[in-house]
Amino acid sequence: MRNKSIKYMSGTGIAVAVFTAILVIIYMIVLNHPKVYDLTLSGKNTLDVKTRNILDSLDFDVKVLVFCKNDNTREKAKDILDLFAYASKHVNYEIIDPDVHPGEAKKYAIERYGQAILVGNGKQQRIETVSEQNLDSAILKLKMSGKKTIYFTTGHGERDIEDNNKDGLATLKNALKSDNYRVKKLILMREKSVPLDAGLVAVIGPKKQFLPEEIKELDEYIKQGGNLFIALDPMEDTGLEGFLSEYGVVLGNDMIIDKFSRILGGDYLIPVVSEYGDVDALRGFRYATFFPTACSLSIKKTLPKGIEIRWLARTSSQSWAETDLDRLERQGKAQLDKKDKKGPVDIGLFLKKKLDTKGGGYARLIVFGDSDFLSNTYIMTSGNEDLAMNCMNMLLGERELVVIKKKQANHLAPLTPYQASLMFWVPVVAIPCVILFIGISVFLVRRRA
Amino acid sequence: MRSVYAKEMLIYFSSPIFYAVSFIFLCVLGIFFYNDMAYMSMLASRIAQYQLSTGLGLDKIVLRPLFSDMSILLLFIVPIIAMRLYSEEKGNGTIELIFTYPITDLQVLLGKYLAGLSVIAILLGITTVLMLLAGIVVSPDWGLVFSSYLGLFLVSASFLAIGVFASSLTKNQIIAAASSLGIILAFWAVGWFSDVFTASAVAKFLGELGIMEHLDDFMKGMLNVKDAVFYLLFSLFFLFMTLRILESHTWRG
Repeated sequence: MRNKSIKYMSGTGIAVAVFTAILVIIYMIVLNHPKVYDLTLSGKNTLDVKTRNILDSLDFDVKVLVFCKNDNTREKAKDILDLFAYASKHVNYEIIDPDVHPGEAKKYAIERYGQAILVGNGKQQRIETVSEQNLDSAILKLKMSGKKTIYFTTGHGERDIEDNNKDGLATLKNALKSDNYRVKKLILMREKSVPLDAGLVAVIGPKKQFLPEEIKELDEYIKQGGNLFIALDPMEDTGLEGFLSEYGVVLGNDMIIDKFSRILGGDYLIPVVSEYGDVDALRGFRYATFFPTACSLSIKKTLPKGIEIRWLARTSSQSWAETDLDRLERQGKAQLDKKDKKGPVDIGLFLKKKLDTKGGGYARLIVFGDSDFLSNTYIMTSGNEDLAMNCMNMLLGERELVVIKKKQANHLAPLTPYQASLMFWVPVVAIPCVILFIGISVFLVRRRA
Repeated sequence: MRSVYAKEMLIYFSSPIFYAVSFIFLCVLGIFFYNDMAYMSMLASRIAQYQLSTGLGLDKIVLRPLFSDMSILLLFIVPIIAMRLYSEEKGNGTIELIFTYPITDLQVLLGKYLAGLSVIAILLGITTVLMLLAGIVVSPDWGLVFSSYLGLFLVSASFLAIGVFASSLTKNQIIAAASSLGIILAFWAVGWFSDVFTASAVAKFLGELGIMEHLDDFMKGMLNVKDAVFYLLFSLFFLFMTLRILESHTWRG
């Protein structure tokens, strides 16, 4: 009898061991093939397309070391880093309490709670807080071997990249820097040609005429396959009109009036754009963008050989390009008449020019009929910054930096007195009482039976 | 199996324990819910007053805390739901009768387990009223609500499997409930070790074993396949162990 028991017992032991082993193996397989689905309707657990592009193109391991206490910061960092780790095998992270492990903190010269160090590709990058954007830019910095340079022309009253005041471009410059570009000023008059390291030349809101020699430099730059970003304001004579016209772009001598903008709380003179063209940078772009005092652009009917132009952004059908600028200025009135161009009006164009050289390739040009939307005052409005950055990234060939969507949290709302009492009486009193009532009824029925 | 299931369900709904447990569960949860909603309301008026733009939403202020409270309440309640499944039969001596049924141990076990799961599903079902109530004020992210409920159901299934296992060990229902609570708490605590020993293989292993760690992603609105698989395998393991215990009756005599 005892022998039999031992036999059974050992049989059970083996069965349990084998079964456990099978379960562990199944779990290990699942662990090594991670699959995560975002079930939220808002997509808040989904990384930006920009981040995913960066992670997809990672070819080295990145280790993120976050130094923080066991608190809210830690939770936040974990939420974001989990998404990164799920999205790429190359990213892993560790959260370290600097007070428990002071040696580690000292090794990486940690000064504040919440700082993080990214290690990879033989380099190190420090970020002040863990956020999707900071991680993106730090990973890019680990990845990039050489920085691309963006030149902003100066000397014609252009908006200044160092200017922190309302008309300046300092905000734009910082955004470009965080995408890891080098940003410099360019005085065309002093140079014989556009510098060779220029990935992009930007002309933002000039007020004075460009000299013919300067225009020639830009023209040469385009012919050699350069990238130009031009943003011009209405009623400014910059000398660039002829240059653009040669490429098939006509600047309107007008001002766009938009009735629709008023509905959104804006001014008639701030046309709103919610329709974007079919180009890489803006496919799926859903944000409204605002262009204070803009002029219309149009495409010539017959284009020079090798040039292809597409519209990038256009205003609503409730807008038009007002040509009676005198009346607009003096009386502040505008009315759609025969001379005016009825909306939708093109406000941004994208131009591709096939190069004559043997190797082929393209020069690319983006033109906007406004430069205010890039200024410190307006760039943070709605989707303006994303629009500008997407366009510049496209010109620079950095497709992975194009932003498509951002997350929105659903909002909070205060309770009305009626709602507040509903929130109390239904869950705290009504529901439990119903259960209690059913329970007592069942009890009584059973006792009677 | 169907007859076992029907019998178990009938016992559940005619016993006072189910109603008492549900009453306490719903009452406590209702208070938590009211608190969270009141806190949200207070925050909302502050934010409006100072025109702050925060990333806060109903998800963070109400839903996530509420679901995490729910998981802890379930941790205490599921052992009580599970305690009688085998212990009662053992206490009454009807277990011997079961062994003579013309159905297998597995069928009996599944019948009992599914009955327990149905009771949990009904309890969770009742709590969806809270989501509808919250929806009157701010529409919640229904995807997140769905994934949280899925996670709660799966973790409860694991608790129940432990409960059934503990219930098969003893004829005393109180001991069954207490020991399943003990096992669950042990598997909860195991997960904390991963915070203490950072980045060692042992910490990682223990972290994977922690029963509550696998709920995190569900409550953020994510379906992480590994977490769902963990709960299924975890439940399977304890059901398998229960079968082995039942089997031992035949050779222990």
